[in-house]
Amino acid sequence: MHMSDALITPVVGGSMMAASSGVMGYSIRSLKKEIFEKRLPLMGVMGAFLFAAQMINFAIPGTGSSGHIGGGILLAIVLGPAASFLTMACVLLIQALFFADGGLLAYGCNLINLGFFSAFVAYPLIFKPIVKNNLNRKTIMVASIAASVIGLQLGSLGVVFETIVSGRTEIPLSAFLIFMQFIHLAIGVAEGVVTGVIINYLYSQNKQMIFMKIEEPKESRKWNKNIILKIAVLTIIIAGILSLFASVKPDGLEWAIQKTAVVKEQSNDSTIATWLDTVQKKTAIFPEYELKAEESKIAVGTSIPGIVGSIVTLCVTLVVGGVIRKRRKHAELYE
Amino acid sequence: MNKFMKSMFNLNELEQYARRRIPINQYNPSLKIIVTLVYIILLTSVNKYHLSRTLLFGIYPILLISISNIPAKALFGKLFIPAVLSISLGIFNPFFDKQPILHIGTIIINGGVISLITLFVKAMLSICATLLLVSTTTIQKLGLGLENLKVPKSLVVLLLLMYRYISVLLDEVNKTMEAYQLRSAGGKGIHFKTWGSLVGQIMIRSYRRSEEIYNAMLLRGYSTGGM
Repeated sequence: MHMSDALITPVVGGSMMAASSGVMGYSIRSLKKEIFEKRLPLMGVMGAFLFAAQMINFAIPGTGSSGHIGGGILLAIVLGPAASFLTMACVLLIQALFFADGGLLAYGCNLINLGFFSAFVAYPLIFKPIVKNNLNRKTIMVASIAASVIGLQLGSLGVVFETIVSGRTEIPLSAFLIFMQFIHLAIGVAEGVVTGVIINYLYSQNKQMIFMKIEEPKESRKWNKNIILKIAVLTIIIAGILSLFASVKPDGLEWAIQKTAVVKEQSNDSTIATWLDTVQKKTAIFPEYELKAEESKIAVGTSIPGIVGSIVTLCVTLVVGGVIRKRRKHAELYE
Repeated sequence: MNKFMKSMFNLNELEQYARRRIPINQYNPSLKIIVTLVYIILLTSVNKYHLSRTLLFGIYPILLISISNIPAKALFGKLFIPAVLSISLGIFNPFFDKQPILHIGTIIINGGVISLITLFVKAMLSICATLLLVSTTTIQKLGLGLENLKVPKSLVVLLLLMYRYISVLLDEVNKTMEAYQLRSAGGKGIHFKTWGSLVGQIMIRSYRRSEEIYNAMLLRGYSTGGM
């Protein structure tokens, strides 16, 4: 479900990056400093556990197949929303950097799709209310399944919209949407069951393993924090609506982003988006929007001489690279 | 654990290149992060039909691989899954985008084919650039670079801690899985009756380990202020 850099445009990636860093800032602020530092080792080890958990294959009864868990909702239940979001942020960064899973530009998209929805939507709005009054095996199981299904549905919805708005693929919206939502419905149920079983075990062994037991610190600044969260949520909702609009009318996105920039000058999201927009317009290497305006010029970028020229250039670079490398090897030998 | 997964999780592989004492590894990490980001932004902003321009972006990874003297095999091994993913997402392009934009003699190539190739090349190049960043920069320097770029210190500490413990926990999970498989007559995955206890046990052990780490950190002067 990780999105790669090639699938998105800088405007989409930049806006999502801004939105996710807003949520990150909120998470850091909402975790009290001492609590954050005390829980840092736990967050680190749990994040590392998530990598290791990819190795564990769960045999799905009756199907003969097996799969592994994503673990976003498991992390949220064990660590709580803010801590799990920050843990997910590091997990995704390591995945993007070292495992070629996701990408640096798509980092914001992935963080929102995989981190935000399970930590700040599925956990507090689905899991917590269900188990609030009676915490037992059954409610934990039901809540885990519901939370993981909702979290994954929202996440895959995010993937679909970010992909469609970027327009790098020609997959028709309806087919892509149906495919993704159905696949993730099945994945969500399976993941929910596994998460429920694990949480039940943890709860039966040590009740402190579940975040519910720790009271969240209440401060007078709470009002302030809520505002930040609201802005972040609002930004995402607006972005979602705008993206709907943009997919109907291809030229709408640019217009819409400029509109939001006028409405909310303070918002991080729009400034970066407009900045990217202006950079794009000024630099000759960014032909994206010119092209959309003038469809007739498509062929300019794709001519046989152009492609052949590029391939020849690459070959020359390869030769030059080979020479550099040979000389280097020589140098290293004498070191 | 199969061979493929092993190579995926071999963090050491890229790090050994980053640890060498060559000029490119000594450059300012913040600068390298920014250059990589700018490269990816420029690359992804190229139009989907601009195959020739996209191909030219290949110069950067080729030169970087040559200068840093990293065997291309080490990078290409990690490109397999992203390659399959990018093709499977772009495979619909030729069927839905049929406007002819390229003529080779009598053969007409439609826009979808070009945009599929462009998508694939972009995916490969952006991942190459990212992998080259981490194979010329050690994780400590990367952390330093992020800190200089105003990423909160606590997040950087979390990142470094997590990175270090991936191999430790991987080892632990491997041992557990091996023990399970030896006792379960070679089942395909773990039985659903043991889902909770097996994974739960690993998590509880990790929890305890994190407490030990915290104590060890405190004993070594990990401060609870000034982060």
